[in-house]
Amino acid sequence: MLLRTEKLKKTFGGLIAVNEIDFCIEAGKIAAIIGPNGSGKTTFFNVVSGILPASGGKIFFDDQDVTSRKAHEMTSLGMARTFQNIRLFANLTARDNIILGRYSQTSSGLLDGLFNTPRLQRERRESEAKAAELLAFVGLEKVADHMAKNLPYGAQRRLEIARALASEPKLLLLDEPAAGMNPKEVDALLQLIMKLKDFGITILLIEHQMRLVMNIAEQVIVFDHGVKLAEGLPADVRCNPAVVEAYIGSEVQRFVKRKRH
Amino acid sequence: MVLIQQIINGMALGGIYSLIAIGWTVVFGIVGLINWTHGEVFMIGAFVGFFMVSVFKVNLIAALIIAMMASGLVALLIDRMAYRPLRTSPKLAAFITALGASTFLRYLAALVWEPHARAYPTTFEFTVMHIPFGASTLTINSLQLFIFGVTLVIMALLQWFITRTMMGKAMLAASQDFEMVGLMGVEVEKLVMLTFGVSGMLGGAAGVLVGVLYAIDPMMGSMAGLKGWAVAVLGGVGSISGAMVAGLLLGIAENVSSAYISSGYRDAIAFIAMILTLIVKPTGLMGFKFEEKV
Amino acid sequence: MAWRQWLQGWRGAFLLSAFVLGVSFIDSVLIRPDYLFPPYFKHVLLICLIYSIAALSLNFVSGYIGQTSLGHAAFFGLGAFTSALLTQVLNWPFWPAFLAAGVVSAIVGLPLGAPAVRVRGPFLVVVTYGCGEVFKYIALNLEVTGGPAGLPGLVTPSLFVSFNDIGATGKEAFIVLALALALFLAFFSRRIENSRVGQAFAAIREDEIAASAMGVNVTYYKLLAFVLSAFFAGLAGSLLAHYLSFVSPDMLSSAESIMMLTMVVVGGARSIHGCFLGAFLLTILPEALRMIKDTIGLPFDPWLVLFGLILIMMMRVRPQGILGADTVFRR
Repeated sequence: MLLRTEKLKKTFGGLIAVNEIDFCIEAGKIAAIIGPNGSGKTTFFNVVSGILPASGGKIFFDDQDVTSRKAHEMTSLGMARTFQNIRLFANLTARDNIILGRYSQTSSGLLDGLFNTPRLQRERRESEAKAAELLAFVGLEKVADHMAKNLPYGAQRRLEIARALASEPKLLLLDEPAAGMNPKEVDALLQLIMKLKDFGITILLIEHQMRLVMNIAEQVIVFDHGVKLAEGLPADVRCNPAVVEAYIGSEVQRFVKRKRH
Repeated sequence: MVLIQQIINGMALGGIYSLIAIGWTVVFGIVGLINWTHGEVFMIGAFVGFFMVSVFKVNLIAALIIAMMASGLVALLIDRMAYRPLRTSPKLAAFITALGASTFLRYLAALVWEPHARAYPTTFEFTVMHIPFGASTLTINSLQLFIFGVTLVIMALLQWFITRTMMGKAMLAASQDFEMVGLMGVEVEKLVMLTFGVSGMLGGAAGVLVGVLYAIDPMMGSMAGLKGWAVAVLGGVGSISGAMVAGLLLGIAENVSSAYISSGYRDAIAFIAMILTLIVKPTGLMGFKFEEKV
Repeated sequence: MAWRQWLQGWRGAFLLSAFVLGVSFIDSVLIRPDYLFPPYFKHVLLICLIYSIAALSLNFVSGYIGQTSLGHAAFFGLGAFTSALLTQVLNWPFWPAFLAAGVVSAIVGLPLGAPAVRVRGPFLVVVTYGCGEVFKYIALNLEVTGGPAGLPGLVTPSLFVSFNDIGATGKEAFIVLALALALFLAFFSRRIENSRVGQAFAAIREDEIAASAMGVNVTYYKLLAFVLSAFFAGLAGSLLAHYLSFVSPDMLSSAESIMMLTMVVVGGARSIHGCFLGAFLLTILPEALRMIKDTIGLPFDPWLVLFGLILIMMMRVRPQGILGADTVFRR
């Protein structure tokens, strides 16, 4: 198991956002977390990636206990993520965003900076090369020197993914990567994610767009009110009555059932 | 009982701190701005009141009301001219503007009114009462009672305004969730104007009271403004009740400590309290949580 | 702006040095005892350079990591008092005391920077302001720091010869030292900008949470910025103290902090040239106004009123500062 959580819990005061969730994903797989808004999906990501501290339970990454690790440590261990509300470095260029994404892969420090050491220069060259590669990979070569805040929405989402890839992650957490995209863009995203799987990157995504989830996920987990409601193959989960009820509500479900007879 | 005496002495000053702090806290809670000019509004209120009493021979209560109107107006003007054009700019720009406006007003006042202290002319006799308490006697000055009373009245009026009137309720709601209030159809600019008006009035009232209690001078705004902010932080920024409580606490604390510890550090207490609050419990005594959504 | 490109790097440094050294030493080459540039000019030039150092050091915190600090005078004044006490009370010679001033400020930079890790934006402004004020109260009240009057009679630095004996006015050596320090700090800042450290700073400035998701240890870099900024501010403070031969708690005042911050903001945050410009502008303007006031006999000093207006106008018209960049990342 690349990522495993045991009874993971997160509370905010009296509110239990993530309620003792057991979760695991194998290396090389693509899994999707779905569920109604407010069910704790993003909070789960935030705790797993170290941005928020867990209130209880354990997290294991690559069989290491990383429960108390902070966000910046998780990146060095091989976990990268994108954000629901896009957190790009708005006033930096697309290229610079990706170069910054490579921070965890470089190591020069204050003295390297002061003396402009060969190490710093080498890392600079490598980062620029890698950034160019990634820009091409997501199709943003033409806007490489535009400021991130000036890019169209779809481009921003792709840039965020490219930036996350710059840290050469084993596990990529994508938080609603397809939000606000039209079907054509969603297809392009689908292709992108499949390519990432070919590179051996494990992908865990939160998504509402069923088209993406059904086509790409090998494992679907349903969250509701901080609890894992169901888990399994996409087709199975879709028919699970509890899942339908969580999304649509029991009234409609009964109505649909009646209509069918 | 020196302690109880110090507590009593601290109440009047504490009430004044509360007024200043509430003025700060509503602006920060609703507009999200640190209104660095609040001290100067306070100072202008003090001076207007002073001139009303000394030149126009108006009675103290009327002077207080006029001063409150004037300072409310000044606060509105400052917002309109300095802050409003920067509504969409980053916060730092608004802050620097506030700094500039504050410096401008303070030194303009110093130019016009000369930087020496003036005391409000005594308009009526204040009696000193001695109350036996246990083994010793407590001294209560009716001036202190008057100030504390005025403070209570103003806060009661504010409380009524917030809970009973539409606009007041909108203000309270906005201090908790500004965007939502806008979405619910409240005219945002009007609300902001109202906030500055209220903030200015409270500051001006405090200014007059300080003038009556101590003295006025054009530089008085700087320390008062800062302490007001410290109190607002201590009570929890955005929380009106927090500001009330924290103001009293500071007034009492300052008096108690200057009796027992050296009085040179008296002014530092406010800052130390503020720093400690921000480090230990940033939401203050009664404040709201500022959770940033990730 | 083409001229700005032209002034980058060595050329700018060279020009500045030529100007400063010219003003300082030309009269040594010409006929003496008449000065070409009166001692007053040289005094102002020195003050400009010292504040340039202060602004450049503040730039680490308020420019590069984008955390507005209104307590910078605390580091400056702390450096001044440290070297004053070391030379007066412990009879240290100037140079070790000078370095120690920087080191002590840097060490104090750690606890003062610590709130910056937890507290952000407007709150940090007020915390730094509060810290600055607390320092001032301590300086005012402690016996050893001389109370409100400060400590007079500080020793003059010497390098083989006392600084007072170098040059026509005795200020020249200080000017050279200040220039050297300012240029070094400018060089250091530029190198940092182009390094991984500068990248981390930029990331933190833009979005702390995203930065930490990229692997940036935000706490470490914030503290680093504070420590660096404190170190250089301490050195500048020490230099000023030994030039004036006294220290006073006014050096720690919030007015000083505000002045330093506005130098950075007006000149252009994150811009090295901007720090110099801001420092020079905000030192020369009040002096020039004072001269005008004296010559035409105005009864009042209009500087601070004007200062307020300048700030207001600046934020309306050009909030990023005169030389501030619209884009940020340098290569």
